[in-house]
Amino acid sequence: MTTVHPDHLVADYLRRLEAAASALPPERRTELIAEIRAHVEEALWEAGTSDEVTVRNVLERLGSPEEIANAAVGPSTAAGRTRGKLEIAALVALALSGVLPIVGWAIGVVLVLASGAWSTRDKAVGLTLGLLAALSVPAIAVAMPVGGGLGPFELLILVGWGVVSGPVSAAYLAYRLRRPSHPVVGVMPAASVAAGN
Amino acid sequence: MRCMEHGDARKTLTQLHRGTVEYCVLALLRDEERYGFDLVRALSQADGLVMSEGTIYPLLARLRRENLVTTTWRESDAGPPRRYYRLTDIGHAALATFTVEWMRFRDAVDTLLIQENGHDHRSP
Repeated sequence: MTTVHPDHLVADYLRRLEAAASALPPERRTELIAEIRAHVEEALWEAGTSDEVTVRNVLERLGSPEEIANAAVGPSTAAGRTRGKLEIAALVALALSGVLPIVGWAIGVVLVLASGAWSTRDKAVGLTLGLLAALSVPAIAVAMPVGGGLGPFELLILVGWGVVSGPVSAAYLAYRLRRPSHPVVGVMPAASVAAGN
Repeated sequence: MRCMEHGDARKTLTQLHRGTVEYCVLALLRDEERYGFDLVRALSQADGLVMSEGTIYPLLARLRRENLVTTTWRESDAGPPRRYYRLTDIGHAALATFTVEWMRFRDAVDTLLIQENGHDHRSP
């Protein structure tokens, strides 16, 4: 007879949910876990008992953590948020920001921040990478002053910021946008294609 | 699900189902606010509508992000704190639109499905 403490079952279930929902932005993951926890507490309170069998039944009716996480990750990307017009405009503005230095980059940044397709972390990493790449241009120029024909320092910052930063951010953000949602979803790809058109 | 051998039919029904459940949630909230567990249980009682209760919560979160519902956590008299869902004006409007469209859609599909059966029966 192998009895498991019911509390451990719930804790283990929530841990699996947290792991399965790792693709969600932190605030949404926290919200989901709070809801599921409240559901379990409510169900056990209503049952008036929290023995192992009751807990197992409550968890079984909830479905697997992976299934719940897929429902959370899937629909939001399937709702056309992955590659909407806003995201494409943002990536184009960043990638071509060399055409309109600084201004093009600024437009791209505003569009990226306005989009719900990237998590806050993706946005921060993407834009920071771009700025680091931009800083590396004058840094390299300063390190090798042999060229002689190099323009003023301001021009280098402009080149770095205007030409390098945008495309680097765009590349990272495009990569994050194409990151596959869980392949376990099954019918979801067809649904997302239908919803995206 | 047993009788749905045909993959495409199953896929179509899954998508139809997925799109419809959210309006069933809105419909449950039409006249009163409800807390999550209460909503999920009401949905579970409708045959074949919800297979895994937990998947309703991501749906509720999306409805909230889309401003169709608002939420408030509240202490309950005896049990644990509850998060109540209430329909917004946008939610009411979305539900009303869907209800009209759904009835038209349902009638159109019914007419064709039933007509086809009748036709089969009539021809010798």
